[in-house]
Amino acid sequence: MATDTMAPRQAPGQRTITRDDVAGWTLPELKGLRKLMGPEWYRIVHGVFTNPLSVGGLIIVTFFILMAAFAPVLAPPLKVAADPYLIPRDGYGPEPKPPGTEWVKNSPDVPGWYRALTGKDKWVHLMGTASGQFDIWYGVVWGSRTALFAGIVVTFSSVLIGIIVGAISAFYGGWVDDVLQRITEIFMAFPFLLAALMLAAILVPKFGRSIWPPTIALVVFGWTRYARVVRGDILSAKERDYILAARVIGAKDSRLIIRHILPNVIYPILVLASFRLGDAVLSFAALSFLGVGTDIGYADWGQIISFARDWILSLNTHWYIVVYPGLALIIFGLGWNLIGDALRDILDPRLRSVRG
Amino acid sequence: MAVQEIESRDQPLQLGFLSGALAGLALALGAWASDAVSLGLSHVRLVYPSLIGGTLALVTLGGLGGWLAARLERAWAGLLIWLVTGGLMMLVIGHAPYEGRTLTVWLSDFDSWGLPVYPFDVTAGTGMALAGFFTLLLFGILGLLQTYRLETIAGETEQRGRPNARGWFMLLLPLPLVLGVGLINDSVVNRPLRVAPRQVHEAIRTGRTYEGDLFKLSLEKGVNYNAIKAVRGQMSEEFRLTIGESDLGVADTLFVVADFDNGAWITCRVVADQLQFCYDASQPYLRGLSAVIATGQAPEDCPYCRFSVEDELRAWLQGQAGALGEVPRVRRLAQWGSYVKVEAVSPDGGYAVECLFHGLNPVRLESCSVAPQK
Repeated sequence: MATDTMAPRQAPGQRTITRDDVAGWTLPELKGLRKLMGPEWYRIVHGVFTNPLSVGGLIIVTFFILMAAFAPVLAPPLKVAADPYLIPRDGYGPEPKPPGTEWVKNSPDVPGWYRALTGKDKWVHLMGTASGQFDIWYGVVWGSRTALFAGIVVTFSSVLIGIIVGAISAFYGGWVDDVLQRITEIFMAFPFLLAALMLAAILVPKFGRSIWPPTIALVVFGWTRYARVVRGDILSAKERDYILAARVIGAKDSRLIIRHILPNVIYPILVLASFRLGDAVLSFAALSFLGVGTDIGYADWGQIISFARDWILSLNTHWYIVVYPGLALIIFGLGWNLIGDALRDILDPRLRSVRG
Repeated sequence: MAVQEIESRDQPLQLGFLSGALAGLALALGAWASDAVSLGLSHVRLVYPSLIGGTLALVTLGGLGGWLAARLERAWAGLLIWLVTGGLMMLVIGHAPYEGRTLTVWLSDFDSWGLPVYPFDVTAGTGMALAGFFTLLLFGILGLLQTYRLETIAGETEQRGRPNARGWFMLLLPLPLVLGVGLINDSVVNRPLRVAPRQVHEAIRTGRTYEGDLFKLSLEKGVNYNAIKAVRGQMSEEFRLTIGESDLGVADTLFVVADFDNGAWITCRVVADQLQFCYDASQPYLRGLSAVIATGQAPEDCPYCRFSVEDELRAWLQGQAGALGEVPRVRRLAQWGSYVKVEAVSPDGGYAVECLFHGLNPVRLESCSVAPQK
């Protein structure tokens, strides 16, 4: 194991990849934080905050988290909206209105920040309206909550299921592995989005039109990749010396898995999960776009884009229905991908020989 | 030495209890914090006792689960115990708006003891199953990890066995996830019961004194303020709300009862999260009952005075007409959800009959009896 004082071996002419190659800047050593988190997690967090890629990703993700947290300030809901996630409508007309159009009917309170910035007392459709006069700005702002919720719930649940299945499958091997892997393969045999679409459509009558049918469908078909990755890593890790040593001194199976194996195979899962979080939101939006899932008018980026279907031939005029929610989706996905990229760099064993 | 041994033996148990109790508290916060704020602001009666009772139940269950898992010191036992604990917690959260509130009503008025005031809505079972999936998934993992997590925390203690900063950090680390699962519980179990009282509160608060056209205001604001038009004159400033009856499964309907400090009493009907209309709730119980005692029939000119009653009971009531006098004084003694207890007293106060109604739409007279002499 490399230490801080040990120089890495290097072939003549070969340049060592150092922390400086991936780190754009350095942060002062935060001993308190290091003590709190432990050296390994501190290294990861430190790496995330010093890697330009992940800093970019973090800025984007933080932006969306703040947008979600301050949604009631940025886009105030109607005073007693039955559900604040339902986008308020300025009437029911079919023709979308361009950005900057004044609210006429059913207007929420004018946000203080808008009044302070513009000095106007009339609230406008900052990003225009979609068919049915759904306010796009409201949908984009409150849609960030839906995106974060769907992304986190789908990813977290899939990771947990994947880790459990993968760990049991790899550790016990034999018929347990055979059975679990065949089940995994059955789930993997279906095209992901198509399978999720079918399951979500089946679940809609049971749960009603809400965020749950697509969320459950994405979890049901989303855990397989994690299970495969965990299984592969554990198959290699369980033959390592430290595991054999632990087994020799009588460690129980659960201790071997939880204490010794999982902590050493969790990093690839972290990287995969950060990539997949953006994917989960895109898939959720795709299902919404296809009309499976949330109620009509629910603040969800995919659904706002779906409002543009009737105006597909006049998008040169009604571009704002697609562009704003589309940008939100792309940037949100980009943010998580940047973090995932950076995590992959940080956790790459080749870069771990020289500790930053 | 002996003291140290006892300390080291007890420490995992204490940590297990603390860790479980904190998980229970986080789950309760996620599940009920919104209810506490929203229903509290809407002047809904008897909100806090069931929430506080539920929170105590979750903290106790969590603490016991954590303690037991720490005592058994086996990952698989921890998994099993936490799955059972999670299941029990789900039952507490899922039944709190129904049996929990019923228990609160019973304890607040012993006369109501035994009445199924807020029966469990079977359609809530779907929401519970959904929230249960996420709860059990998380609690299963926490149960599996507990022994090893507590080992690490136990290694991060100061003198006298108290966790240091890192120990606390590790102890609190899973709580945001538990809080998130609590929020899922809130969104599928409690939110459907929260919207109706808020709508009624807003309609009364704004609509009662609004001088313009309520219909126009409704169109402008998207809340049916016009629903209170028929009963606006009866309202006074101070009022309290109670959930009357809920049928979220078939009709997606909730009845909210508003009691004003001037004695007025209205019921509002909310369908699919939209306030439909409010009406004078007293009519079947007061005017309707008076008429049935006197004539055996509800008044012809009052459609809202009607209630269903079995012929035998109707005949018994008519038989009381002599003792109760021509114009008995009828008043509501109590209301527990959709159960209304009414008293008809003879003008001289010497003879009284107590009746129990059930249901807000339709109203049904369940039973009557001669009131004991006071």
